Order: sequence, then structure tokens, then C-alpha cells
Amino acid sequence: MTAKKTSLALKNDVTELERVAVGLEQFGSEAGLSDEIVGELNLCLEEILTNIMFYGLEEGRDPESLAIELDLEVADAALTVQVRDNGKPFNPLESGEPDTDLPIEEREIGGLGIHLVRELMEELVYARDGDRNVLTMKKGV
Amino acid sequence: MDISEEKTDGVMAVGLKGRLDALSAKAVEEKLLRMITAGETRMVIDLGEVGYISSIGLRVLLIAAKRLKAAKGQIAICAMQPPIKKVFEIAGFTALFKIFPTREEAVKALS
Repeated sequence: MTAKKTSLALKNDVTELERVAVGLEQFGSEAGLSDEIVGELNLCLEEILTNIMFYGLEEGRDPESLAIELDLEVADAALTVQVRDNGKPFNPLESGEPDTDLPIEEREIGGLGIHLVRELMEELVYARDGDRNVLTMKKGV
Repeated sequence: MDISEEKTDGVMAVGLKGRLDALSAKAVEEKLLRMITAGETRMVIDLGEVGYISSIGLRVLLIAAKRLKAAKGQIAICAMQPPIKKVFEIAGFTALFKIFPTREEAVKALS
């Protein structure tokens, strides 16, 4: 494993997940991460990014104004990922939709995705920093 | 995502190839639900060539399982690669599905 850093700027578009997948593979290869870790990281980021894109915007705001930044770093046997977005104050670890409005599959899956993130990552910290949501995740590698 | 189908002894085996994620989930869901609506009651989902599954992918399988259950049908999953199996376990899905190492065993169990 080599100390490595990378950043990705994402638009508010689910197809950006393809770019994330490719970016993670490349970063993982450069940083010497196992395929398993890269896959788990991808899963966590997919969950968080889709939550931000689906639930992180105020009503009436131009969807194209939502910008998301991803920072990845591997150093001292740890992988640190930071997701920053300029959406409304919103913790992407908390599903944006009220449970009672969802059919049972959505409710179960809403909680499921976040459960997976909590199980796969070791540290999860959400903070609001000015007009940004900042989610920091850490995992030993 | 490539989807293949193979019917044997009244059991429909659906082979998925690629990533089961937010981008492919809808197409897979539509395909599976179409099959169930068309009358398939015994289905095997072959994940042998699926290298990645996210919570949205798991949702599709859950929806298919519930739809089949409502139709008094059966569903089985087979050939999961280790990383997929790990996600299934963390998600608690191993309790919801019959799971087999190979398609042959899954089809045999359902036929």
C-alpha cells in the first residue's frame, strides 16, 4: 500500500456513478488496495451519493447547482474518504424520506443501504461546514 | 448488465452479468417482474457473473422475492462470488433466500 490521494468533482447526475466506479478502480490500483476494499468503498459511496442526489436539495432549487466533491486518501494503513456537497443541511447517512410514505421494500432498503455503510466503514462523521455538508469515512486497510 | 434466461423442468434460471447497481437495477427489476407476471413461479437468479451489488440491487431481488411469494412461487440465488456473498450476509439476506453454490443444484431444488 502506498500513500495516495485523489479528488473527484461530481455533477448531480446518477450516471456519474460510472465515473466514480472507474475512478475508484484506478485509485485502488495506484494505492495498492484490494479488490474487496475497492468494491466495498464503491458500495458505500453509491449509497451516500444517491442519497445526496435524491434527497439533498431544497425545494425549488436548480438541480444543476448541486455539486459534490469526493476526496480519497490512503495513508498510515487507513483509507479516508470525504464527501462534500453544497445541498441543504442533510446527513446522507439518514435517509431523506419519511418512513411512513414508503412501501415496505423502500423502507427496508433505505435502512439497509445505510446499515451496509455502517458495517463496512469504521468511522463515520457528519458535519455541516458553512454551506457544505461534509461526511468523513475511515477504514483501516 | 446482460440478462440471459434458461428454462429447465419448469424452473426459470435468469443469468445476470455485470454490475447490479443504481444504473442497471431498473432494467433487471422490469425483466424479473415481467417474467413473474407472465407466469413464472419458480426462479433461480444466477449471480455467478455479478461482481458488484449495491443496496439498490438488493432491493430488486427483494421485490422479486416478495412478488413470487405472493404468487406462491419460489426463488433461489446461486453461484454468488465471495464479495457478493459478504454483502448478502451483512444485509441479512441469507435468511431470506434459498442459496445454492451452482445453478444445477438450485434448479434441481426448485423443480
